Amino acid sequence: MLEFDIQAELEAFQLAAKGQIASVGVTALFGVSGSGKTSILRAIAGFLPVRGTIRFNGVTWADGTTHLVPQKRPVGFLFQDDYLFPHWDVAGNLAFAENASRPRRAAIANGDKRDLQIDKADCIVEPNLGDGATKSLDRHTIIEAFDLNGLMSRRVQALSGGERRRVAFARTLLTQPKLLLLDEPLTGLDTLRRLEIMPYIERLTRDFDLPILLVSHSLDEVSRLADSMLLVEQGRITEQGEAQHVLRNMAKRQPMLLDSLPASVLVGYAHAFDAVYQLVQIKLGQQSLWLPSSESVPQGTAMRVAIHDRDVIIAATKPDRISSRNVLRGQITAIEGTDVQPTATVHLSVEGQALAATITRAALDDLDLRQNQIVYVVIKSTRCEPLARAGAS
Amino acid sequence: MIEVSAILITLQLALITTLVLLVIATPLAWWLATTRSALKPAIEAITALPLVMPPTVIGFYLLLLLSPNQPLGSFWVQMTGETLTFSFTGLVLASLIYSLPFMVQPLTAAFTQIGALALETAASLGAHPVHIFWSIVVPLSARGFVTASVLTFAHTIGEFGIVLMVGGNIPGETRVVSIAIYEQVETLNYADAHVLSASLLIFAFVVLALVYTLNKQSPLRLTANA
Repeated sequence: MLEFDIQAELEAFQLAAKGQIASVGVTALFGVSGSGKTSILRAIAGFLPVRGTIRFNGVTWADGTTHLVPQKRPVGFLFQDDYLFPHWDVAGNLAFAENASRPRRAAIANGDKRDLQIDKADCIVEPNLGDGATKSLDRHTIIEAFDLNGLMSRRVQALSGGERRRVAFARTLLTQPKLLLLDEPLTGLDTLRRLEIMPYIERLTRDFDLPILLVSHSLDEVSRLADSMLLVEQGRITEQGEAQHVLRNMAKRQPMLLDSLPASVLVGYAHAFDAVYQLVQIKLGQQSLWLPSSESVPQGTAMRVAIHDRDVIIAATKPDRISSRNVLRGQITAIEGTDVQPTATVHLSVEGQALAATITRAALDDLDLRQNQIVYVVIKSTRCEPLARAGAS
Repeated sequence: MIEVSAILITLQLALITTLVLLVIATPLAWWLATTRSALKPAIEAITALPLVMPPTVIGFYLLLLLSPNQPLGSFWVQMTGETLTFSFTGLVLASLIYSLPFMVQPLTAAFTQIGALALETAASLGAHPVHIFWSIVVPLSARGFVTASVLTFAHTIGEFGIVLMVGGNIPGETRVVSIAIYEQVETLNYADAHVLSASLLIFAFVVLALVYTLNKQSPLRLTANA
């Protein structure tokens, strides 16, 4: 758990941010450009001197008298522009990270050992067997995870943008950080590169048990990646909590945001992978969704599926012979809409989870939809996004 | 006749000055490249003074400062029994001052060019500042170090006014090539003046051509070989 309550004079305004970041999952620092997001991230990493306190897992990184220098904070910082040391090849860059972080890793390992000894003596802490699916941050696993085996002797100037980012990710993970800070991880990348990098970020959140704090001004990025979020406005944290919740609240104030937000998020578990058609089956209770995936997802992985309410079609009877693979049975919980609007929002419960659909009022009347009615929802599978590490896991 | 001793003293002076300045100017240049202190413009101006002042002005003040009547000069006399004025040691001290900008400025430029992102990236990976300096900063500013050293060496060889005022013209002690040329011209010994002058000219050309060649080369090729 990271807690901060920091103040600093920035050029445009005063930074006065107070917030908490959970020890699991992805937390987004969200706000418009120039709202102070990156300054908060830099303060946490130790690059921006601030007043106030920063504490991580009970260790004080900054308060009135302490300022832990950046190199001693066990954070991995991925800057918006990846900087690879130009005088080394990929292997050299990775080796630097391992060498440079050795004192820090040793200090943490000693700290862990001390904690364990104390725990043993007091006999109060139950052993934490950990999550079996979590991979340790050892060299082999990291290089494998970021597909760097073929690049090790490559000069960094000869790398593509996507490859550079993969090297930067791996290099940071080799320092075995306890908290990963990502500054706009997808901003500025073109569509192809985003597609290239996205699976690695998802793998990062899925495979490695590492809390992530990411800065973003993109709703798309936040709704795709974040479990929780902190809304940053003019250097202040104005709202924090579960990501979908905060996004909904924002949308209430600014209805235009709705267009870019998925209305519903379903949480399920990866069950099977169809390698021929490249689809992954996501179990939601008794029913399941088949979503496109270029790679297999380990069985049991928690997945989040963000669904825009306009991508949901409602059928009164079970449709057959349609192109969508994803037809779910659900019950209407509420119908929202007025007689003067052309569309209405139908709220449904699917396997106990909330799902919203926007349909025309004409269709609503034509199908004679009513509360508590059992209906079938058709979801265009191409618009569903399996997400990393669901908050509910 | 060719003045071998003047050439040797000149080379010795330039070499010692360059080596000492490498040690002194590197931290100063690093400070200038990274500080946000309000003192920076003042320190930069002091460092650049030798570039714009007439050598006679610097020579005059140095002569006063190093003279046995002044604290520094008299301290040196008490310690060593020798004066700083009109001695090789005094010449080295003077050279350190008038060649300082030629070492500091290329180094500051090289350090600045590395950029905050490189340093912050290294720090975020856990590297101690000393480690960052030796494994990142030095290799990446190799070209700056070469340029600064070559310019310092060459400029020390070419200085005349300050050397004359502080060191005088003592053969085997403070008589450097530029002084020797001056004296030979004064005594109408043009043949020897030609030999030394042409040598200096060729030397300066080679040095500058070398610096510009290095500057044209990509830093990567240079550091990959370094």
